[in-house]
Amino acid sequence: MPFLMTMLSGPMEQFEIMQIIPVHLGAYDISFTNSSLWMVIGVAAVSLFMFMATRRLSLVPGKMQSAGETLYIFIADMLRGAAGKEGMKFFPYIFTLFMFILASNLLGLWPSIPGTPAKWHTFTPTSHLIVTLALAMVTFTLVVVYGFYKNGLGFLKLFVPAGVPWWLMWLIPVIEVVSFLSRPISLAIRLFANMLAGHLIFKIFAGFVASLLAAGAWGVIAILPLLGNFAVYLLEILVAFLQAYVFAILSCIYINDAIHPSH
Amino acid sequence: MPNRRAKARDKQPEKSVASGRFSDRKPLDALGEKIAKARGETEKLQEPTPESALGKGWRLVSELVAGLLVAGALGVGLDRLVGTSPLFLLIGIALGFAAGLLNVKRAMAAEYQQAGEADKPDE
Repeated sequence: MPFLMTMLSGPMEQFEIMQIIPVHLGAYDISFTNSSLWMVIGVAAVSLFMFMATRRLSLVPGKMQSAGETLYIFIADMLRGAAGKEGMKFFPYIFTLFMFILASNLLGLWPSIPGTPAKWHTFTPTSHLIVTLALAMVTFTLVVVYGFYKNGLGFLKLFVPAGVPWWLMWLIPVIEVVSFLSRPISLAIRLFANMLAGHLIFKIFAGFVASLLAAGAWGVIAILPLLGNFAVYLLEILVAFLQAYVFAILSCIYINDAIHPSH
Repeated sequence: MPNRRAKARDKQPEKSVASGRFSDRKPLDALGEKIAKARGETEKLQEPTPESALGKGWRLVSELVAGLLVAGALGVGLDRLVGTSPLFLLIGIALGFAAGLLNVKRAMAAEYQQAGEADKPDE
């Protein structure tokens, strides 16, 4: 988070999408933007980490290998706990999802390099609803497609919970369908809102520091919002991890519905 | 770290046997206890961090709002299609609220279930 340098700009400027390589395909603008750049950096960071972790495999793992193994066990246990043994075929997807979101969240916390143009500033792709919604829609599509592929029309049992009295059969399935459709939205909103809120708080506190410093003798108390920002920063590291975890475990739970559709 | 721990584990029984103060079974039992204890500690480390109250609040709000948004959007879409504005929007809002509450209820039920499992003593 660039709270040391661009502190006098507005709090929303950090979320602005800027073109780095303009590309237009017909009427569509598919430019390579700062958001794309930070997604690429995220993927590169994850790849590098996993490459380092699996480079020199040994029975007694070294530091990198045990870090990689801990993550593997963490995700594998989570998936097995939520979706059972059958769910393990989705391990590559869940692991990729978790690592990508975690990398995006954490990389967005790095300070920008002072003096660089705005389009090179640190950017958090997951602070944009369209990115998180796209990720959530991948999970949603996976659940729907695999659910019908595995269970056929039996997948529709998901919308008829056991023990519903016959005179409510016209209403409950409709509510269940709406509830099912709202899943990707709530997944997307949660991740996006958390990242957006965290980065906004940074910028606003940083703005307090700047305006207090400009106020002359009262500038001394600028230390308070600075300390506040420090505390929020530590909290944001936790939030970055937690939100990646929440997104991944809810994906596991939804995948479980595709495997075992009866409630 | 695990490197060092593994070495320490290997060393333990030799020492006990060499000192000869224990009968045949005891050093093995002591080792077993030690391993179980160490394993318990690492498992504790691997448990997910408990979510903060604020995080929980965010999660439940997003569940509720998502239900409303989806059903509201479906209602507006149907209205446009059929030209009955605002009939389906109103039905959608009612259904969305019900679905949102259902979402919240499910999320809380999962929460309580998890908390219940965590409280259970080890078997």
